[in-house]
Amino acid sequence: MQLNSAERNNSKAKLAQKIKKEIQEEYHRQASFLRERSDFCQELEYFLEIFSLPVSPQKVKKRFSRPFVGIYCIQAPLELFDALGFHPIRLCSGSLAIQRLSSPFLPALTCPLIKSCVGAFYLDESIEKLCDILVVPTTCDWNTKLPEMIQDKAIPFYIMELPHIKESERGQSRWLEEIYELKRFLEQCAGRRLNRSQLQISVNKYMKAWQAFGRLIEFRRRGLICGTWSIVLANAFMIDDVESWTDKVNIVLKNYDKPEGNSNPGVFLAGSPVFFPYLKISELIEEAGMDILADELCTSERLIASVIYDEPSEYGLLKALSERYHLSCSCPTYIDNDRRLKNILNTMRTYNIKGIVYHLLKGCHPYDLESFYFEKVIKENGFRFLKIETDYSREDRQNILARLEAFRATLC
Amino acid sequence: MTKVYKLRFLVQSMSFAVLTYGGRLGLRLGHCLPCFTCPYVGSCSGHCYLMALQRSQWGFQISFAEAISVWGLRALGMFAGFFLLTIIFSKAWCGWICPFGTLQDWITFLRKKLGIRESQFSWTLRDRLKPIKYILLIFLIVIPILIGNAGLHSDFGLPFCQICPAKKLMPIFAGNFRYFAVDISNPITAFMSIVSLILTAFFFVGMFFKDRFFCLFCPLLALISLFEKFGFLGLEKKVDACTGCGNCQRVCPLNIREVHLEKKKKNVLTQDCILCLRCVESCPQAKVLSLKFFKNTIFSSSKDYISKRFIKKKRENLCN
Repeated sequence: MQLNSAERNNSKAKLAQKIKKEIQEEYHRQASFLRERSDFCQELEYFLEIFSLPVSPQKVKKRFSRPFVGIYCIQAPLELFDALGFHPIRLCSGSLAIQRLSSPFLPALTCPLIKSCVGAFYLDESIEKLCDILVVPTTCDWNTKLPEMIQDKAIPFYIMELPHIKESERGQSRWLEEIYELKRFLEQCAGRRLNRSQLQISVNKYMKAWQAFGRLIEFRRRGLICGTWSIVLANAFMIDDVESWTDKVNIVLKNYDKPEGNSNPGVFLAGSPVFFPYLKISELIEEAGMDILADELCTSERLIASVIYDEPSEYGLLKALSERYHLSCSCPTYIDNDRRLKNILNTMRTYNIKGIVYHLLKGCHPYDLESFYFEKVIKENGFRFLKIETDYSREDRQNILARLEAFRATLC
Repeated sequence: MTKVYKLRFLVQSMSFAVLTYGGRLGLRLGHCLPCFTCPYVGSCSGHCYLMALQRSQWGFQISFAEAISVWGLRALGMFAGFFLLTIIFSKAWCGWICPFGTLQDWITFLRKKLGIRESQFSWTLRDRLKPIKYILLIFLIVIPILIGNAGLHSDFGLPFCQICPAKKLMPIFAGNFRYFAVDISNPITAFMSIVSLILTAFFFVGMFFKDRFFCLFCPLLALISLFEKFGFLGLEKKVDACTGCGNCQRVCPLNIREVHLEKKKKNVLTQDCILCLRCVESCPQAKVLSLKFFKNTIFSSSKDYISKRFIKKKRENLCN
């Protein structure tokens, strides 16, 4: 019996090693694929380097000296972590190989992003395991149930209960309460009180990132930088140190020169998040001969918003933070979310975008639910609409490409 | 400090000086100004229209017989002056010119420097306060009518001025503390002056903890807002492009929610708005909020404005 269990452990370890190698290959393959693109330039190498970090956590430790806080979903205020001396990382995963560690004990139709995120806890080392604190805002059901999925690992998650109605007084004040509670918790972890001017400095740092990001979006709208690269750059923001990210983006924008002669029809990319190395959808859209001029992904254009405060008191700053992360988010898990569709239509009209590709990860119910109403309204407004439901696998690439090419024909 | 904020600060300070001390230079701007330039400040250069409105020669304290004579015409003329001034600058009188508003902004400035937080009203309380200014407006019209026609004691004359905190606070700038005295000539004056002392103390404390606290109750703001749809100035919103980030709601000194919540109407110049333009400044979406003069855009929101005005280049400049 004992021998058997030793053998089993041995084979388990072997399998884990094999999967680890596969994950590394997956990241590496995607990065070299991006390097080979004709619009790659040396300044972009920095961002690809960032994506070598998730597969070699020891490098992460060396690169960022502060203690890590892992955040699922974008609602937890980065500025607050930064001001209290933590390095916030938005945990997200686009790895397919890693799912082999988690899929045996998760429902078949689990959101692929969550499947990959859960898998990370079953590796012997990962960014997730480096984090001192893991914060989970309760956005979608998958996120809410995430701590339960990994309960055998006994990880102390910090849960933030997100009010799903934004435009009411009780929703806003409850979220502010959550922010205050988070502040108290972080103060305890950090062993010091929140300093008002330190928080102002952090807010300003992220405002600079917002400014650089705004310029990146402007470049993108004018077709000067392609959709895939802007998504990669935005993805990198989720891991990187904010100040160096801002500097590097500014450098890229200063020097970026896109090869001339491109008059592809533009599309809007909406729907489920896209995160490195899962860039299938954006790459296929471009392969089919379309430009992604705009998106509303929570891993891209929705990532950074502006924090304007009038009150430099602690209350004023925290209120500004709470509203910036709550009110300006257009996640479909919110109930009063009618602005999302209006904003998409407005962007399409403003930038003369004729069609929308609605990307859907299998199991991502909130986006799926909204897609039917979206399709109706978007078509009524005279735009084209294509819904693509997929997961992290590579098998359906040809199929999707054929559909996208047919979609392109309707845009011309 | 942002560009518009600085400009407003400058305009406010200048109009404070002109309206409070201009009288010493012989400046006379009339009796129908739509702002709290208090006639009790000895050196003032123009008078608040609310006083004219309550008076016998130019307002409602006249009998019905007098109303259809020359007196009535004079009152009408006074109103015409007020109406004209109101439609030209609309609520900008409150946000940019009114000396009492300026005083409140200075107090707020001091509070922010001290890092003391603003107190918050619940949405319900905020909504319940809204009608009070109209009730005050009705009282300050009805009482003079009753004095003129129903034999109400004339010591009730100028009822609003008697309780107005500006009557006590503004003369201080001309070195006059006289109006803090309790007038014990008769029970009416004693009562009115004690009520007014209590109100002044209440508003003075309120102003410190809440931006533009008095404006929430100001009957002149109510009167101006009755005519704001004739005004040349307008605040417009492109509702489809608004992402609902809530910046406008948060920076508004009067905590107006409508600008943020409006999803259909273009016009967002609401009852309580003082056209301070904080919302336009803080809106990160291009041209979503704009100030219009007739149909022409004077100032509109943009990313660039925020980048230039709200982001500090150096750390040292940050802590305000």
